[in-house]
Amino acid sequence: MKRYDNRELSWLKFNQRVLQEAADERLSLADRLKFISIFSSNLDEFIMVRVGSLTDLVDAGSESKDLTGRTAHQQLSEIYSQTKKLVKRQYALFDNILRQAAEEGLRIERYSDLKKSEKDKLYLRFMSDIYPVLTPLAIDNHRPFPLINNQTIYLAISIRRGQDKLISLLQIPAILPRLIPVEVSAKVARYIYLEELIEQHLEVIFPNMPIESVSRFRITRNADMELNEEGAEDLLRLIETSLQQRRWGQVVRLELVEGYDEKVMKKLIKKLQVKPEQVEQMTDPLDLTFTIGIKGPEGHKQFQFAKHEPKKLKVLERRSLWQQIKNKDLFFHVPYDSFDHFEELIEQAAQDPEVLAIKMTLYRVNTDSRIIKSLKQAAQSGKQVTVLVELLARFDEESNIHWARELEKVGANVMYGVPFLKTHSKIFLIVRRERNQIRRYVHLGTGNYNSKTARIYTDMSVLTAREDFGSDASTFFNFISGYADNPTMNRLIYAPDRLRDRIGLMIDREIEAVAQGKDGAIDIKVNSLIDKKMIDQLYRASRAGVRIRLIVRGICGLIPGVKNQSETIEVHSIVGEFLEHERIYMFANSEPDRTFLSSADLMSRNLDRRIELMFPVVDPDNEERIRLTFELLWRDDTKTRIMNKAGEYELLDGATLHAHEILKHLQYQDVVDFNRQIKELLDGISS
Amino acid sequence: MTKTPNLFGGIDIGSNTVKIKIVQLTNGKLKTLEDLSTDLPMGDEVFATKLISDASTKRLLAIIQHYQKLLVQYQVEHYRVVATTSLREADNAKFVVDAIHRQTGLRVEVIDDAIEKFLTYKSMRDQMSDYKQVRDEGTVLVELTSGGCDVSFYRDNRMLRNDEIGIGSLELKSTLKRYIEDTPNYIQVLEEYIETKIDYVSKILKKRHIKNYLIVGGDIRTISQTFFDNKRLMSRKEFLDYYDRISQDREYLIRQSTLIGKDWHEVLASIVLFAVFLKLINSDRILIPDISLRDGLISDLISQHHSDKKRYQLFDEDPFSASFQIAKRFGIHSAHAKYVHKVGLQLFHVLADDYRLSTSDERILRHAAHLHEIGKSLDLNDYYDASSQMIQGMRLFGVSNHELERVAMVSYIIGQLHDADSEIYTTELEDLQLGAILAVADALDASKQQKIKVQQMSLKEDRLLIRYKTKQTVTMEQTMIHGLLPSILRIFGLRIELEEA
Repeated sequence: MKRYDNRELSWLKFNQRVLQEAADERLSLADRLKFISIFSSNLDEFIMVRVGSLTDLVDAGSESKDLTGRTAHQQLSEIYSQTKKLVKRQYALFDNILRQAAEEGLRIERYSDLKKSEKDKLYLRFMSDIYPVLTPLAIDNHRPFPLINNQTIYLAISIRRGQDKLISLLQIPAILPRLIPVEVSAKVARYIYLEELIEQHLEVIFPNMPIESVSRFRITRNADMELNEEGAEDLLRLIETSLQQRRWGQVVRLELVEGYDEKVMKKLIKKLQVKPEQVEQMTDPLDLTFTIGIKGPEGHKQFQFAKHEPKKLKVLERRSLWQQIKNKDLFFHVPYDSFDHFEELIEQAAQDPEVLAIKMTLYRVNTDSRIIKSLKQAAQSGKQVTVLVELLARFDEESNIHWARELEKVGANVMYGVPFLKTHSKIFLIVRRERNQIRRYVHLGTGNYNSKTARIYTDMSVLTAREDFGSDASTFFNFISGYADNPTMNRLIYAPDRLRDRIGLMIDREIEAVAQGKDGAIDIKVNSLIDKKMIDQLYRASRAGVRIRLIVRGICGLIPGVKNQSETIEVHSIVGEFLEHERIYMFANSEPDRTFLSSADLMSRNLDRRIELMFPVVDPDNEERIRLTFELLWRDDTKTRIMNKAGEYELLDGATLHAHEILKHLQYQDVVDFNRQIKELLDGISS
Repeated sequence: MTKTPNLFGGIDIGSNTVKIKIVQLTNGKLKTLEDLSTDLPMGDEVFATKLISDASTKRLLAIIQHYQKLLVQYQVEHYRVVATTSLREADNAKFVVDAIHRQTGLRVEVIDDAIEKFLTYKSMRDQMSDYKQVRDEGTVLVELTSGGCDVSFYRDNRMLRNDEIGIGSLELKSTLKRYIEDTPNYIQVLEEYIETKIDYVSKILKKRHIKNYLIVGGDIRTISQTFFDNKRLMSRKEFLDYYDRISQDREYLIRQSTLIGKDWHEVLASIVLFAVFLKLINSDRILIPDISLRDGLISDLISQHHSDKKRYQLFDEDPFSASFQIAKRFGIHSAHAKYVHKVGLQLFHVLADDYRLSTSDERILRHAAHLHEIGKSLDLNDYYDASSQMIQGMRLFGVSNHELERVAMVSYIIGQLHDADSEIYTTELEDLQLGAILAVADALDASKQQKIKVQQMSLKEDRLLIRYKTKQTVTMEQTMIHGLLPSILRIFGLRIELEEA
């Protein structure tokens, strides 16, 4: 029996579950195409980062093994093999969806099938919009090999010029839409791929030069940045330099469309130093990330995403927000509850003359963020604005550098975090003077302050005016500023120093409870569970008889249901319309707090190499809401997969309880009303 | 933005850490808004080189800038920044203080040890709910700082003794390191070394009944978290059990010290010192109070800006109680000293407004009233001069070095005012004024029998009227007052008129 699952293969299983969604015929075609796209963008990132990192290990001659005993080389082989299988399945699904879409009026045409009038129109479009942005790059011995951009489609064109054969590269511009409309109406939506249209007009770009062959390809570069922060005076500059270097990262995957010119590609493969296992032959088209944006015939339901309008909390309509928070901790669950509340609160704080300071950690922020705008306004009006910007938030580094500078310009105190540790915690603190008393308002959550992702990611958070939380929040900001050594906190638990031990202690307490004849129970919901020590502690708890329910959306290295190892552990994974992102930790016998939310997953990086926060949910109604929501998610039988003792996932297809749909449509007055309704619903199912 | 009036802040630049505390006072209760401690080990480098290095200066500036942001953030109106041993002893302290001022606008006061202790102990008022009971029952407080060890004794809610012993944690640490190289019984040798150093105090402590033993400083609170199960109240046995474990298990000591980022030598040296004191006294109640210099700064600011002037009265009286006890140990005439203190203070308040005498002047006056005759124990002829010399050579709890010099000067002046041609008139006017006030009080009890009961003192134009009652002949007092008339006229522009009621 397996004791652990490999991190990378477990992740690929997660992406496989994403792909399953594309096969769900209960969804609209638009939603299914969205999952085709998500699968591709997930895989792109995985290859860039994880395959990149493993490739570095192989290149460094590492023989070290992961918790399953695999070397980096073995892992890579399995990844490449598994990836190819999954991509094949993705393309088969994509073809299937397109066939169904064609019946509903959406077609992606071949150029040769178009009418002459349509071709003429497209030629005009090509000349006016496309041709001006095309820049061929010649490859010859007289100039350096050009930079080939990461994850961009290229045409490698073999041209004859006189007696010479030349190779020219043409980048398919990412700024242009991938699908060029041929005809869009209420009945039909017909498109042609951008690369095909360009390919049909190469004679415009290479006049009087016969085209011998055209090959389509796309590369993925290693984007796993390694920073040497030691002695770095200016982290911001260091990261900018590293980002430049990332553009030249080693190629770890080459996707080639079948029918390519072998000679041409052999030359490119040599130049790009691509290994044979990194080459993947694809059917046309490359890069399916575009599928999320395909528009069908106007107004056709099959081409509309499932609708969702986040709810505004009714309780906030009645009295001032400050007063509401003082009365009771406010609980939010996005995207079911609106993210607007936070933006409005920060806006209100920025304008409130009694607000003295706003402090916030920011990891990933949307570019047109209202929060950033408000923070700037607050700083300009003389409030103390302290923002911790995590410059190392992967793939958001450039954006983060940009607005970090913007905030600095208006006088905000911008910090770049603790050296060697990413700051992943989600917290903001508002210091307000009320009748000559200082009051602190703290928001703590599991997700980023990003209005775009808050419509897709599920996250929980609490807004409180409790004194002990306010005091801890102040201490935390001093800690991450580098001016508080070994801070002691009342309620908050932080990584890297305290979180692992605290979770370990709470697991131990459940074991002790069972030993004393009580029921021991642990319910955890995370995105990933791969930390070996944590898995071992959960196994130990299981052997002691603690009932453990885990909802792990992504990577899970723990194998449930194995005799003498994990018999009392069950693992569910939910993949659906929203990206499950809350981190919930519940321990039945923990004192004084039993229910916690956190920014941290159970991964070594979260527990040991990041600044994370875990906090108790102390308001009994809010705690009950979390417990009921966990229960609801646990009983979902529509989007839930159950992990078996072989480490494989089985999709439940009961379709009697769809947690996302229930939470989306539930109308409630306040948390008490929410709890009542969910409890009735769950009781109804039980009976 | 307007300041927030009930917020108080204290910044303490110590030898190993820089600390800030910001509190809010509401309905007489303190609520902590910020309590922050940042490591900055300057003590060792100052001890070794007499200088604060460039790197430490740079880091200190960054820390103070961060702290200043917190003060601004809360709009704290009343705050105070002080520095202790490291800046007191560093040759480049002025440069560092100036750099802080230039870069942050904050003025750093480098305070003397005696003030540091006074402020720290004053914070008991806000940090210990049972402070009255503890002070009342008989308590020894031992405070270890990097530069010294302070031993105080309280009973009947008064500080009865305060002695400083010149063994600080830095010296103890280096001594311990030497012994470790020399002998495997280094703990025992260190105990003996401490016993020798505290010999004088130990004789006195052994005689007293001491109920409570308060341990302060030497990072004892951090040590307590790791080594004493975070106990703040222990029995004698509990403490000695912990001590046994620490002194017998070196691996444990090193491992636990590393966990809290402390040098194990320093941890051990501190615990040995506290244990040696415990073995001397009969207390069974050991307390580790949450008092600190920054808390004391805040308490002091509150006492200046809060309407409840009696809030800290007990603690504000400690320095005077201590100076009186010192004077008594030199065999002064207690009743006379008390008389001079009382009448001097009465006269001071009559003159204070017109002559712009300050609260600091008042403190000087009160100490000089207690101490002006201690010189009699050395020299009966020129005892004011002797008193002055002796005062200059002592340390007084709650009295800065500068103030101590003034106390000495004022005590000296008292004896010089009968001579109108004395060179004393070239000294500072405030000191002359205080000396003159005490000389009048002293003269009114020239016979040391407190024959004159002062009924009223008042100013009328250029006359100082003293109405008194007496049942005895007061010729000596009248003669003494008469002898002072030219000096009083010269110093205050006043003529004294004695009037029997």
